[in-house]
Amino acid sequence: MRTYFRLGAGLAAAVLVLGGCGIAQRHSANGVPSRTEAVVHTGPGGGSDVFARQVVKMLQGDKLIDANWPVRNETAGSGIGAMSYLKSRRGREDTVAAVTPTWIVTPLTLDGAAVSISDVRPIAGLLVEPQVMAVRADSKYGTAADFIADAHARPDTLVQVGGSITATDSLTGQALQARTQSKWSFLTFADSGQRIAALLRGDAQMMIGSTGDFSEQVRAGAIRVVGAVGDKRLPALPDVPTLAEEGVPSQGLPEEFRGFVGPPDMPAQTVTYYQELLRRLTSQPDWQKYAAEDGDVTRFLDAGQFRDYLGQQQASLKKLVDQLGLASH
Amino acid sequence: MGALNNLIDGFAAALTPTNLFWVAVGVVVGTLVGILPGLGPPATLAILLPLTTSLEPATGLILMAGIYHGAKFAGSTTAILLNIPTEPSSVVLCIDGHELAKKGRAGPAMGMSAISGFIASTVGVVALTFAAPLVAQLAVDFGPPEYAALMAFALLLVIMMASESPLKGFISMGLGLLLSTVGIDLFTGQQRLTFGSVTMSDGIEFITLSVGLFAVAEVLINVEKASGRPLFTMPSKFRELLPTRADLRQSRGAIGLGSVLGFLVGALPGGGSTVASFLSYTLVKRTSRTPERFGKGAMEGVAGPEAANNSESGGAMIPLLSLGLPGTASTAVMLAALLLYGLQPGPLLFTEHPEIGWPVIASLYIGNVALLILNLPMIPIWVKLLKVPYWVLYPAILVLAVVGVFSIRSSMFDVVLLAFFGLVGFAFRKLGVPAAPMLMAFVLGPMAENAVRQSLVLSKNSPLIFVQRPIAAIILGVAALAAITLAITGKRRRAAVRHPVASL
Repeated sequence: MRTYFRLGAGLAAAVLVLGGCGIAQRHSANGVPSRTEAVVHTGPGGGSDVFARQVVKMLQGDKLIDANWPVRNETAGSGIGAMSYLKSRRGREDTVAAVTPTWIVTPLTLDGAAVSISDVRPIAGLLVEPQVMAVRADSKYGTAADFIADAHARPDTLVQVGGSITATDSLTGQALQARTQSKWSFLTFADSGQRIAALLRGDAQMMIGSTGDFSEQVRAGAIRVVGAVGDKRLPALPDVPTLAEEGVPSQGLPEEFRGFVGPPDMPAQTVTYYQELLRRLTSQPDWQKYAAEDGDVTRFLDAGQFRDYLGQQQASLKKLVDQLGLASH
Repeated sequence: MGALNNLIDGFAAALTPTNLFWVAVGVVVGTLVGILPGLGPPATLAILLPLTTSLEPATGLILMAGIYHGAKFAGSTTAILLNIPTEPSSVVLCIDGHELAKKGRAGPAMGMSAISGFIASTVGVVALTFAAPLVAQLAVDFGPPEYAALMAFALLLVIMMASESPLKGFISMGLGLLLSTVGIDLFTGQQRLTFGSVTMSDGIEFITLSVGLFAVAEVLINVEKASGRPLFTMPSKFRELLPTRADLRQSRGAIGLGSVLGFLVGALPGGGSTVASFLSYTLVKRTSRTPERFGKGAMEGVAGPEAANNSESGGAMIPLLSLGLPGTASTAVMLAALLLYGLQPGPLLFTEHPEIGWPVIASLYIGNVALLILNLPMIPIWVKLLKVPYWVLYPAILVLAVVGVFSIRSSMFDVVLLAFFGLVGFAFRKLGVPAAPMLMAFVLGPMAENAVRQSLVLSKNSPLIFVQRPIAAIILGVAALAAITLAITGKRRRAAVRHPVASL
């Protein structure tokens, strides 16, 4: 009977663990929730997951919040699952979610998606991860323009390595090809380690990604950054020329941003509470250290500004997705 | 011998009383949580991540190592005792491990799993210390064409596995490949076989398929024939609960093969313990002098894959250590922990932060030793689970299966799929179609497809790329040789069955 008891206890424990998430206070007196959960669309160890955990850790470290915010991984459908979950928490105060461009692109490309970024309540934009173009350290390309010129001269011979066809790196590469009348192939890997390996092996000649994707490889002398995607030089890489400087049109390329949203109809005073919490966070030294280490650019947007920003990003991404024939309709 | 000194320092840093306490806690917690299907090592680690990051870095990481090994052991425990594979790498254990349990040898099977795991991680740590530079080069050199060749070999092995009836094995594999294509195609963003449903756009969960095919089907089969008699033979003496000397002698080769294979596959970015354990099982079976015992309770069928499953974590540290590339899901979670400690994982991590990197490797090993010490005495208690009458055990298995499958993505649709795959598994058993090839093809299929398509992107659609690159050509050559050998020996064996006298 003891083993039966064990099994029963194990089951009960499991049910408690699973069910515990649902039991939370629904409304508070002052719009300050007692226990918040942070929803992310990636699995443990993925980009948004690590970002959300970092934010929670810094909020706690800076004594901006008392209780730990559990992170909830809703990984279904590259953002669809997380948005659907937010939608099911309509009006609640105790749920926030870390948002990335994936939340905009996936509904654009997925047939029959019942949610979109317009369904969630923007809270605040926090940072932008500047995109850079990188090559292997011993590559013959000194600048991004060198690579593009070669791709123009020898269409369909060079290879860019990256993630899914709908991810920011792929969309950026596609947009650059269209603007410069050049043509290269795109090699897809689901796993970021394999992308770097493909670049090191020489299977691919170029990769576009966030500064943080390459910083350690750059320090180790294995990979070289040849261009900043955009028109502003990066504080983390002041010597790297921008695409605009090189004469590559780089207006309106997709941005890799991070911010927070809430469920639809989240009470206004709760939105303000989280917005101010995050605003205070971005002025803390540990936040600035964190952003500097990853080469990210802090760009705080309040709820209203973030709503407008998401709208602009949605419009420009839709244009890109349509051009590439990836749209669902 | 810088690496050796570093490793010794690592052990010195890891072996404090506080750390040993936490590694013991980790092993126990990992075992308990890991029993739930769907909560494999990566998920268990993720749940307990907040707990670990509130400790000192070295202590937190050693706790994670304990949880990791505990959850792995829980996976083999439920596979052997209840035919529930709670994680992909424990599927192969169901094939022979559960058969052993039915014969009253659950204890030895679990003991063998722990012992072969222990030996293999020793091999893994030693190889990691001395062979890292060599294998790191392999990890970089192994690109899409090489992967495609390896997958071709692996799929060939899957067909070979079902040697009793290659046709049935082929059907099972084909269905597995078909199911594996469901979902959004990474290359084009197009949906495949989703019938317009968003629920299907992520594809079918491995756990849903494996728990349905194995655990639910097992319950259905047994309920059909249950007549109140005990299903399991129970050993009466304590000594029968541990592997015998003969078991160990018999499994020596399998452990050696599994250890080396697991280490090498683990070092390939994206390799992982599932591929390692599958390959190990099929190779151990093919190289055995008595392959007909496999599938009916062969001890090597437990020892080989478990060895591969454990030496894989040593191999997986190589791309992480020398290149800063995480190889598997579990190392990715460990990377997340490093990030939360403010450490940037990369090629320089181990040179700049030896005080973190080497204790991680040491703690993976200590986690395995702690598992052996804590769990060998627990085996008799686990085995008593089989004494539970079937009218309690079967509902409990079904509850575990449903809760586990539902917990992965909170989807009721997955529970319906689970029931469906349970019926498929039941039908397979009735028709004598093996279920394992289907599952393996389900795992290997996407890897094979990706590798072939990635290769063709590189070669501008020229198939010559598979023979132009030396590593790929060698693997394909070995695969071709294996296929020819199989065709010849298979014919001879079948002929021998037909004309027993002539073969003498």
